[in-house]
Amino acid sequence: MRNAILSAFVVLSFSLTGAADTLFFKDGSSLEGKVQRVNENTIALVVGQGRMQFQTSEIERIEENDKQGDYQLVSPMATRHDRALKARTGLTREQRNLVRRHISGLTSASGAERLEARKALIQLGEEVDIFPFLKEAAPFLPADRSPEVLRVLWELDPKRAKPVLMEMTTNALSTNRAQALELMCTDEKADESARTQLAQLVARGMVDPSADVRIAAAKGLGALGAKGATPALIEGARSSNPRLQGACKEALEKIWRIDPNLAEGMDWDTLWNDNKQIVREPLQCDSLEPLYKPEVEGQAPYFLAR
Amino acid sequence: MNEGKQQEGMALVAVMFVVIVVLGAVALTTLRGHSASTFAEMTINNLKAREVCKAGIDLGVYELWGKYVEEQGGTPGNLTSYLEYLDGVVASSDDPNTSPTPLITQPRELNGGEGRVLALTVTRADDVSGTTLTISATGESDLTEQSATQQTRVAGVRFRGFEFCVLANNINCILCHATFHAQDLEENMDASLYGSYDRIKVGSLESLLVRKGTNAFSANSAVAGTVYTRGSVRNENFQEYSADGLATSSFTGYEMDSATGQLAQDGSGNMISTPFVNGENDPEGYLLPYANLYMNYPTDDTFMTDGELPLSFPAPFPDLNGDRTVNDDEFEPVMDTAYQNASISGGIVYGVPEGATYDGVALPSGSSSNGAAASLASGNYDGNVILVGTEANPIEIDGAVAIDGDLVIAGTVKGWGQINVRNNVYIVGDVTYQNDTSEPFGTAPDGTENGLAVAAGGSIMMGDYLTRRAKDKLYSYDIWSDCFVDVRQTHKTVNASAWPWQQVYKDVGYFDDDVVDPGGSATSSEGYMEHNMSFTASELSQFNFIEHELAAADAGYVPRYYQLRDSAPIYEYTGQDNESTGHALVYNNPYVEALSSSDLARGAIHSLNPADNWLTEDQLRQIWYNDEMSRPDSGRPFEFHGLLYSNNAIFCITRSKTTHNSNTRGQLIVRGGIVTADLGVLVPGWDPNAMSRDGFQMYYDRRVANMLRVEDPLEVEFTRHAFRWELPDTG
Repeated sequence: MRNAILSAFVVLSFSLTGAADTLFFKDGSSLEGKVQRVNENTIALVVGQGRMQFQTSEIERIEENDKQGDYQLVSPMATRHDRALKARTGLTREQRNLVRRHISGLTSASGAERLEARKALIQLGEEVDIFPFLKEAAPFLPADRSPEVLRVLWELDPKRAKPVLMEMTTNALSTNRAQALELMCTDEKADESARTQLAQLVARGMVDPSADVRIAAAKGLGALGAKGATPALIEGARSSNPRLQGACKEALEKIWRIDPNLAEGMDWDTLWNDNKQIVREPLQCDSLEPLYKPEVEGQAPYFLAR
Repeated sequence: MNEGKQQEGMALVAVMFVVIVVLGAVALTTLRGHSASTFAEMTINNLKAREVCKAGIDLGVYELWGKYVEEQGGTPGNLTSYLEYLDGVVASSDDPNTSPTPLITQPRELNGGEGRVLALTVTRADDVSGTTLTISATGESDLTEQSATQQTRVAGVRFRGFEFCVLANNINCILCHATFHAQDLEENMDASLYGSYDRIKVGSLESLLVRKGTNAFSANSAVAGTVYTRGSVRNENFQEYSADGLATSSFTGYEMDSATGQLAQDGSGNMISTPFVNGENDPEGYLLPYANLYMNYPTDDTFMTDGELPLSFPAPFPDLNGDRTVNDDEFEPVMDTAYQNASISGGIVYGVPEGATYDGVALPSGSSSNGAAASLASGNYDGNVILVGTEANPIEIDGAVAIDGDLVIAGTVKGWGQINVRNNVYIVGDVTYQNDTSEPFGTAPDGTENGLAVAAGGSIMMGDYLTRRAKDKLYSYDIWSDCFVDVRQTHKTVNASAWPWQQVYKDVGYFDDDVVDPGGSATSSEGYMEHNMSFTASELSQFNFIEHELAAADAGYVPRYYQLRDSAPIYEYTGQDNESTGHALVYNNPYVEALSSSDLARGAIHSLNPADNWLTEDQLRQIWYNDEMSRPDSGRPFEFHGLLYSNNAIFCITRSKTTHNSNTRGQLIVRGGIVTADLGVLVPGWDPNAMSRDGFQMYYDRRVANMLRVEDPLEVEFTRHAFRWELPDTG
């Protein structure tokens, strides 16, 4: 019935229309041009050489007027899409293409090309603000590429990058979580209180389901000199994963300023027992909440779901 | 004395007798020699005449083909260029009584003066994809004449892709819990035939994506035969597979006889799973045949030692002007050929002529009264058609029928034939043969052999291509969970917030607002921005990107861009190497761009909606819903029997039980073949998170290999056909 009324309205409108009109769509957009009725279900709009068809169900109303329309007839949704993208990223289509090309280079098989791509992005970032685009793009990039973009963000502007990295610490991709933790811990300007807060966050990476994230967390804790994370690192040093073992031992050496040459055979438990009284908030693994927990064990990341 | 004289007389008689005998013998010998000499001479003249006649045919071939190739610089051009050349030599005529056109105006000496060609003529008969030239020559040598006729054909190079179970440019989502088997092997119950079935073939011309993930998210797919690839073979992280890497994936083959390519079966008839092993070269550098994998299969046919793998997908109806759309004059010969040479005589035939619309809210229950059924009974219909078959009243097809519009089809099919459809094809329910299960597949209870091929000038959509997967879940990286559209409930409301303390409700029933892909990010009636793309839109954006890249690299290339509907933007997903996501899933992905007017200016645009919305999307969805509700709770997979061909796109979409509540259980069974440039398959199985599930099951029916004759007019070839000597006219 609703369709019938609309059809009747459209038919009536046509009898009134002149050489040019405005189509108002249900989504709030509008287009100008010469309206033609194709059949009961379809209306065409003609502007110059351009012609576009719409379902009558997409149209709210037709207004008769003498507007001739834009020379180039583009779907209102396409215009909206382009505007939205520009608003979100601050870049024109050409600039977006250029940034995307450089991003692709970040994971080139050639080390020289990877370096070149990173330099190019940094250089471009000094000329144009590419930060919003990189930030918007990062969640959509593959596991090997998004960490590289996070690195560029960090190099472009650590202050602006921090909230992005914070968000990435809970990202579904382990490579993003690992990179975010590792980069944030390299902030040399952070004060003591910020470092303590950060250490608490990074320590949660020690119970991450991914070994790569645990390794990154260990490195970060070492860089932060987070003594409170010693129990978690000792536990990690007992892991069967040699990479995790190494990262935890190295972190412990850094935290407790042990000469690596003398650290072989070090009894970390004894060291901790001797010193734990000076640590304000020791962090035990079993009290840590993982940064990322899949909603259902073994469930696909969203992009694989059907 | 008298005695003496008598004796002398007797001697004379004897001498005379001897002389006569000797003279007779000499005369006979002389006569025999002369006769032999004459016979030999005649034979030689006859042979000379034959040779001259054959030389005359060759002269004709040169005039009709050789000169053209010379003019083209040694390489044949396209069909249009050839027909233009031919117009200057001989006119085309449909009238069989038209006099042959002479190729020589006076007798011409040939074969070094051994004889003359007295007459050399040609008749020309053009058809849909080329022309048939019949050359007649009469040769003469020393008054001995001989005539002969040679039939030749110049047409586009014949497409060999139908020898493949599945052939497409890019194969990605399809390899997810998919099996590709041989129909004849699967149905065989005779143990003596085990091991005697040929392998099947699966080919990708540009890229193959094989998931490497674990458990439910790995490929878990198998091919009973050989996989051919060109371009890249990658995993979901866009990492290139080596042959060894592929061998350790969950994409597997089956054992084959290395000398015959026949599939090995054990005593119970089961095939024996084996990893893929890339084909090796012989010492001369040619590939050894019958491997189960050929990565980077050659493009030069000299090196295609395991059979031909096409280079591209020609238009089913020759695209003579290269604009990548089917024009009136390109489809007219198809309609003409079909007329009175083919028929659809059963089922419900509902025709909707151009300019009219369908007014039903479901598939028609009877044929239209506008003469469509009668027209199709004569082979063609000028307009859009809905065909519905039932077991009691199947769609009965015979020959190559033509439809100058869109086709909507569902139900039972009987007979042997093809449906040439100018525009899009919508498969809105199971399309299955009327089958006697005790007989070989494709045999009707009355013994009729069934076989269906559908060739589309547009695209082919099997299943619901418009409904998006879900509405956006709020505040969660897992954007879909709990918000999947339920295809069996007309209205349904779910909590869309990831935060337990916040209740945000969204409607995700099949007929709720905003579950249809609007073609871009849009605010829903609930007041939220919805970004989710339909699977179709995701795939289209990929296909468009590839075309855009080709157009950017070659100013002469005519790209073909897809849009979801006439009014939708034409998107491209510029992150083709972002294969971790396989494709764009949301419109607000910054790698999704809408192509500009200037980008589109020189492209051909294909919309997936029915032409001029003669059938609206609302009507299509009601039809899909009716089909879904016809499937029992015990489940019935979507099923299609036959061959599908398009040089545009084919979409095959089912939805899972656990996320979308579909009683197809996310399964699709195809018994036939699928050959298309762009293939979008979303067949997840019962539960996309389950390790063990049946998704896409493809059974190659070898009978479809020769059902369609598709020739590529972009490259013409000359072939000789029947040759015969003309008997002398004995009056």
